[in-house]
Amino acid sequence: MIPKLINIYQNHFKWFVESILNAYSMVLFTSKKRAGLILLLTTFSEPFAGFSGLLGVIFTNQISEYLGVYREKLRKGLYGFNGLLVGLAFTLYHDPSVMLYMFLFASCVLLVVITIWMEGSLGYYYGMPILSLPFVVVTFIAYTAFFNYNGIPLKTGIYSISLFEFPKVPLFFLAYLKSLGTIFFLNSPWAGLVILFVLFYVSRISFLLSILGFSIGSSFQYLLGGNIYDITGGVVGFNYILTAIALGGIFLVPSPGAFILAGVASISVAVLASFTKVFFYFFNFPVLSFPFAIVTLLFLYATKQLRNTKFKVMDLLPGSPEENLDYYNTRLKRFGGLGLYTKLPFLGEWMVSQGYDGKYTHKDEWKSSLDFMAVGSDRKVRKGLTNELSDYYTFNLPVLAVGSGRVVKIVSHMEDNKISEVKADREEKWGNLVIIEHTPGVYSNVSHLKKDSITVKEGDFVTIGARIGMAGSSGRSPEPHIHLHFQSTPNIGGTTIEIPFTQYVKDNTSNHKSLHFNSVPQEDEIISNLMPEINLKNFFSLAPGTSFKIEYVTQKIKKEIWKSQIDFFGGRYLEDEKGNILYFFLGGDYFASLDYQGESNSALYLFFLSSYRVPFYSTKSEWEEAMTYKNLSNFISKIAKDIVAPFSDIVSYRWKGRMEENGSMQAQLEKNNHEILFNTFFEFSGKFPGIIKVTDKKGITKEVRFEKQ
Amino acid sequence: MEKKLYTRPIIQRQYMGAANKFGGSVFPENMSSIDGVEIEKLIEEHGSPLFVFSEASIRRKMKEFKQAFQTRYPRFQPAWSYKTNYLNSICKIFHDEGCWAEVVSGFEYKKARANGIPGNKIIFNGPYKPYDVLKQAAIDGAKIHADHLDEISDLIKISEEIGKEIEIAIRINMDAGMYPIWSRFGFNLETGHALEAVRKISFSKGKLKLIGVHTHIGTYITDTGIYKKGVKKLADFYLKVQEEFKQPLEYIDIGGGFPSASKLKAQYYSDTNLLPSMENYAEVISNTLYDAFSPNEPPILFLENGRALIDEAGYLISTVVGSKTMPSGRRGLVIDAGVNLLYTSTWYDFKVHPVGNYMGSYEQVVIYGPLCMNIDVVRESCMLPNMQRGDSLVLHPVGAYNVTQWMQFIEMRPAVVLIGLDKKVKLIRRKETVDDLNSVER
Repeated sequence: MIPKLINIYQNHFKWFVESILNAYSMVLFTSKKRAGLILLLTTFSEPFAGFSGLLGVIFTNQISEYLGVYREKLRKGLYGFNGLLVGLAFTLYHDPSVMLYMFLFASCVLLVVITIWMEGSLGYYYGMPILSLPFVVVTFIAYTAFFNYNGIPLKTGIYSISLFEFPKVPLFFLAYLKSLGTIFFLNSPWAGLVILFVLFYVSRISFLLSILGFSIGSSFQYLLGGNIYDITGGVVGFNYILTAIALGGIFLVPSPGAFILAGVASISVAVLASFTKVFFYFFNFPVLSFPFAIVTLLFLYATKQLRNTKFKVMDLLPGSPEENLDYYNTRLKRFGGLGLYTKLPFLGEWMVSQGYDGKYTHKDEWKSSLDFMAVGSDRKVRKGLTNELSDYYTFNLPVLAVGSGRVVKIVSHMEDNKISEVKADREEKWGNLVIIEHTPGVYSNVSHLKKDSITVKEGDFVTIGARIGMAGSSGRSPEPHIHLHFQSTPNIGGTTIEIPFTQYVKDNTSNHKSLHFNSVPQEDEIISNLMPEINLKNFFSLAPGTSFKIEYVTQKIKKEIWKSQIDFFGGRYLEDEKGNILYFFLGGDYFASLDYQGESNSALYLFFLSSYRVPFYSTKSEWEEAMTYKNLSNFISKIAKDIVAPFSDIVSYRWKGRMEENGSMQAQLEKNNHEILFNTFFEFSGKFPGIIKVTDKKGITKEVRFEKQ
Repeated sequence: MEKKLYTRPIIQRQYMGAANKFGGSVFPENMSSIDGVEIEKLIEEHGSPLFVFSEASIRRKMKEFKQAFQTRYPRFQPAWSYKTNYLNSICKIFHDEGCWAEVVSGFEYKKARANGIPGNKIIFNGPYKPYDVLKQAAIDGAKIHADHLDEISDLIKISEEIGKEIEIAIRINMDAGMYPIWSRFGFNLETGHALEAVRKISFSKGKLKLIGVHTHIGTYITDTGIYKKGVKKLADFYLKVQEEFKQPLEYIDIGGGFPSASKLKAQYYSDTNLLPSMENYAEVISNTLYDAFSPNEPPILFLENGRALIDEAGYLISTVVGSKTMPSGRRGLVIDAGVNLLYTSTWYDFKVHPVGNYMGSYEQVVIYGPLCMNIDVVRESCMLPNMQRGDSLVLHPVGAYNVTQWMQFIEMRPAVVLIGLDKKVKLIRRKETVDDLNSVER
C-alpha cells in the first residue's frame, strides 16, 4: 500500500506540482521551483487572474500529456508557461465564468498543437526556441474569436488585492515595476516589486539586463514622443525587459557584446511594439509579448548565422545567465562550441609560415588561413642547399584529416611546381586539395598536396588523423608547404571561417613547451599535435561503473570509495559516498574536470583542483586556463562577482598546470593578483587516482591517494 | 735546416687506376681530435686504450631518428636497446631524448629501474626471464614480450599470485626475406605457432591480456623492402587477432635492425652513402602501416633501435705497441686493444684513423690485438701509413655492442669517457683494476 502511494506521489503528484511551478518560473527564464511558487502566489493578488492562469497551466500540461508530449518537457514547464500566459490574458477583458473556462480549455487545446508544430518547425529547421510565440498567436486568435460569442460576460470591474498604498517613487521606477508586473498581467506595483526580488534572486545578470533593456527601450519611446501611458502603464515595457534578458544572458552568453545586442534589440522592440499597437488599433488588443518573441528570434537567428565570435550563442539548453557564463568559461572557452575535435593536419614539428591575416595571401575572404612547413631539429625548413623539392623537410610527408568527416572534393592531377614557380590563376592556385565536410556548414580545405598522392576518394568517410595524402608544392606554392582553412561551403576557395584547434603543443625556444587548448596558432610558431602517452591514457581509463578505493589523509586517514558514473545524457562523473559529484571529460588526448558540485572539504574536491586539465603528455610542458570563482567564493562576494563577470575576466581564477620530466604534474590556482590559493601535486603512480597532494594558502597539505592492497 | 723525417722504403704492387676489378684503395683519414678535444690529451689523462663517446653525436643521431619517424608516424615511441650499450651515462642520454628502455634480461631490467625508468616504460624482451624478475616486472606494469609457451605459463601463474590481469605482447618470427631467419626467438608466424600462443593467452580467462605484437626481423638490414614485407605481415597478423579473438590490441613493435655506418666484412662497398637513410626506413614503415590500417589511424609503434643510434658516437683510441714484418712480407702492427674489447670485429671492418700526420705512402697492414691468442686480429688488412711503436690510432665506429660484449680476458677493461655538449670530458667508467676482480673471489 505505502510503496504504491510513494509510487503515485513520485510518478504523478510530484510531476504535477513541478510542472506547474516550473511553468511560472519559466516565464522569467529560470527553473527554480521556489521562484515559481512565489510567482504563482503573486498572480493570486488578482484572484480571478491567478485562478485563470493556474487553470491555463493545468489544462495545457494535461492535454499535452494525454497527447503524448514527452513528460520531462512538461515537467520543465516548457509547454505550461504558454498556457499560464493564455490563462492570464483571458481575464483582461472578461469576468470569470464557466463559459470563459470552457473557452480557455478549447484555446489550450489549440495552444498545445500550435506549440508542437512550432517546436517542430522552428526547432528542427532553424534550431530556434519558440519562446511565447504560441501564446501570442493563440491569444490574438482567442481575442478575435470572443467577438463571435455572446455567452462570455465582459469584464465589469478590477479585482485586485492591494492592502497598502504604494509609496511615492520616481515615475521611471514605477513604470519599471509596472512593466515587471505586466509580464504576468498584474497591474499593481507591489506585484512588480515581488517580481523584481524574484528576478534578482534567480539572476543578478538578468536583473541588470532588465534595467538596461527597459531604460533604452522606454527612453527611445519617450524621446520620439510615444504614448506616455504605454510607458507608465507597463503595457509595452515588459517586452524590453524580456528581450534584453533573453538576448543578453539566456540564449547568448553574457558579455559586453551580448549586452550591446540586448540594448539595440530593445529599440527594435519599440518599433515593432508601435507597429503591433497601431495594426490592432481597431480591435484594441494589447501588444502582448509579440514584439519580444519576434525580435528575439530575429536577433538570435542573425547571430547564429553570422558566427561572429563577439556573440557566443549557447549551443545547449540554456540555463540562467550565471549558469551560461559558467558553462562558457568551463566548457565553451576551454573546448569550443562546435563539438568538433580538430587536430593539426601533419605529424611532428611544423612552423606556421603564414598565419591568420597574413602578409602574403591570407587576406580578405581568405584571411582565416594557415600555411605550414615542416622544420628540422635546427628549426630550419630545408635540409641542404639543393634546388630540389626534396630539399625541404615538408615534401612528401603525410598530410592528415584535421577532423572526422566526409570527403566532398578532391583535386589530385596537378604537377608539383619547381622551386620558386607558381600557378596563380583562379582555378589552379589551390593546387591539389582535399575538402572534408565535418559538420553541416563546416568544411576543411587542405591544399598544395603532391601530385597523385591523395589516398582518399570523394564520398569516403575519414576519421580524424587519417592520412589523406602527401605534402607537395602544387598550385600557388613557390616552395613545398600545406595550406589549411575552414569554410562554410563545399566549393573550392570558399570564404574562410575561424575554427580553433582542440589542442596543440607549441615548441618555444630553450627546451620549453607550452600546450594550447581551443586556440589558433600564430605566425612563426613551431607547433605539433599532442601525441598521447600510452601509460597516462590507460591510467585515466575510468570505465563507467568502476569503483576506486581512496585514502584521504588529513590529520587522520579516512577511507572512501569513488565511483565512475555516466548520466542519461552521456555526461561522465565521479561520485563519492557523500554524493559529491565531479563532472569530467575524457578526451583522446587529455582528462579534464568540468564542474564540481558538493562540499569543499572533500577528497573529490582536492582531485578537482588537481585535475582541471591533465594532458596525456609526458614531456616537460606548461599550460593554463581560467577557472570559475563559483566554488571558492562566499555568497556576498559571489553576487558582486556575478555582476562583474560578464564584462571582465578579473574575477575568474587562473589554473596553471605543469608537466615535469619525471611524469608528475604540478598545478597552482591563482587569483588575478597572482595570489596563490592552492598548490597541487599529482603523481600518476599505482592505481587511479595515484597520489595527489594539495597545499592551501595557509600551508596545510592534504593528501588523496589510492588504497594499497 | 730541419732534418728530414726518415720513412722506411716499401715495395708495393701497382694497380692501373680505378679501372680494375678491385676498385681504388681506400686511404684512411687522419683524426687528431674528437668533438674538438685533442686525442693526445685524452691519452695523456686517461691512458690507452680508451673508449670515447660523443654526446653531440648521440643527440644528433637521435634527433634525426625522431624527426624521421615523428613527421611520418602519429604515435611513435622509441625504446633504447640496453644490450647495445648499457653504460648508465649513455642510457640516460637516450632516456633524456625520450626513449623508453628495452631490456632482455633480469640484470638489464634492474639496471633500467635503477636508471629511474618506471616499470611501465620498460619493454621486457628476451628468451630467458627469471621468474622473480618476471613477477616484479608484472607488478611494475612492464611491457612483457613473451618468447615461448613456458613463459606464458609462468605469467599465468604470476597473475594468480599477484591477483592482477597482466598485459603482455608476443614476439613473432617470420620469413620477411632476411636470412638467416631468426626463428629461435618467439613464435613462428607461418606455421601458426603465433596464433596458437594468442589462443592460449585469450583462454587464460582474464589472467593475461594481449596488447601488442612484436617482431625483430634481423640486424644490419640494408633493404627497406624487407621491412615493408615484415611490417605488412605483422600488421595483417595484428588485424587478424583483433578480428578473430575480438581482442583490441594497442601496439606494434618492429624491433630494430637498421644499419650503422660500420662495414660488414662481407660488404663489397663501404660507402655509407649507399645505405638507406633514416627517412627511407621511416617512409617505408609508416606508409606500410598507414596502408594496412587505412582509413583508421595506425596503432602505437615501438622501435628498439640500438646500433644505428650509438655506433657512430663511439671511438676506441689505441696505441701501437710493436710492429713486425710477416713472412708474407706484409707489415704487422700489434696494438693495445684487441678482440677482448672489440668482440664485433669478427663481423665488422672498423675504420682505422691514424692520430698523427705521416709522410710517404701507405701500405697493407694487418692489425693484431694484445692477446696471446691466435684469433686476436682486429683488421686482417687495411691501408696505413708508416706507423711506429707509440703512435696512436682511432678505431671507429665502435659504439654499438663493444662496451657490453667486451670481456675481461688477459687484459683489464679500459676507461670510458664521454665528451659532453659543453666539450667537457667526463669519465663515465673508470679503468678496471686487479682489486676489482679479486674482490668478488672468495
